[in-house]
Formats: sequence, structure tokens, C-alpha cells
Amino acid sequence: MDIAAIFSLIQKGITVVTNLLEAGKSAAPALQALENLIKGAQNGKVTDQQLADTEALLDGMITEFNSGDP
Amino acid sequence: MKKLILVIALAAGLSGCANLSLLFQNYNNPIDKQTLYNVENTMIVAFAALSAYKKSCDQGVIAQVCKNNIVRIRVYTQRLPTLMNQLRAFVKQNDQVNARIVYTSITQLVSQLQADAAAAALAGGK
Repeated sequence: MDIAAIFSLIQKGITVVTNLLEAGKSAAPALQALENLIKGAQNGKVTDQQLADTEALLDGMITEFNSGDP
Repeated sequence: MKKLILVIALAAGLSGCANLSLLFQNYNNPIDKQTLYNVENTMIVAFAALSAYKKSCDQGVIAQVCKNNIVRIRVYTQRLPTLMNQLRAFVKQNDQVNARIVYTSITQLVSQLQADAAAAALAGGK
């Protein structure tokens, strides 16, 4: 696992979270994802439940974005 | 100012997502559950930015060219559910050959999305 790549992603994620907060938008999902990335980089082990929860969250976000008239 | 910040957040989220390929630079590294977990969480960050952009567009807060931008981005995001489900299945089956193929497809798709969406958003979202 490329730790440097993980940290690069975390860094970009922090930028996103900061900008979302400054724009007055919800950053909770992004914050949780960042926390997951950081913990994953530290521990290197993900449980099936953690993976399932993350998959469900991502699926919901993709569906929400792809829904409705733009 | 908030409009510009939203556009920046979108660009940052998408560029982070496009760096998914960096997670797998070493060809010999397996695409395991941890890798999948990192992919999913990275995409959550990107979609947090996309969601904020779409909501702002729906509310009329940003320039209405955003509607065209969302249509363009959806060309890519509508392909993601199928690819993600395939990746998840192959990873859980430890089918590394097919997992690698799908993973490459996802990273290429996200790179295309990032290039197209970031340029469109930055050009028309201010």
C-alpha cells in the first residue's frame, strides 16, 4: 500500500472539507471518509462492517447526484 | 466568494479522486479490501464536493451553466455504480485479474471526469 498516495488523498480531502465548510455546506460524509482513510493508513485493516457501511454511503451519494433534473 | 469556493472544492475533490491510480503504482500489490476501502472513501470525498455543487445549482446559488456541467459529469457518474459493484465483487472473491481490470477502468473514468468537469466548472462556475 502506497502510504504517500494515501496522504496525498487525505491532503486533497482536507482541502475539500475546508472549502465545503467555508461555503456553508455539509462536510460530514467527507469528514468521515477522511477519518476512515487516516485510520486505514494507521491500522491497515478494515472490517467487513466498515467496508459495508462505506459502500452504502457511497452508493447513496452516487444515486443522489445522478437523480433529478439538473 | 462562496460560489468560487464551491468550484474549488469540486476541483479539489475530483483531482483527489483522479489520484486513485497512485494507490496502485506497484503492479504486484493486491487490490484487497483495504484498497477497496480507500477507493470508496476517496470517492466519498469527491462526491461530497459534487453533491454540494449540485445542491447549489438546484438552489440557483451558482451560475446556471452548472446544469450543463452536471449533465456532462453524469455521463461519467452514471457508469460508476456498475463498475463499483463489479470491483467489490471481484475483490471479495479475491479475483485479482478482473479486479485489476475494473480498477483500471474506474481510475481512467475518474480521470476523464476530473478533466472534463474541472474545466467546465472552473470556466462557468464563477
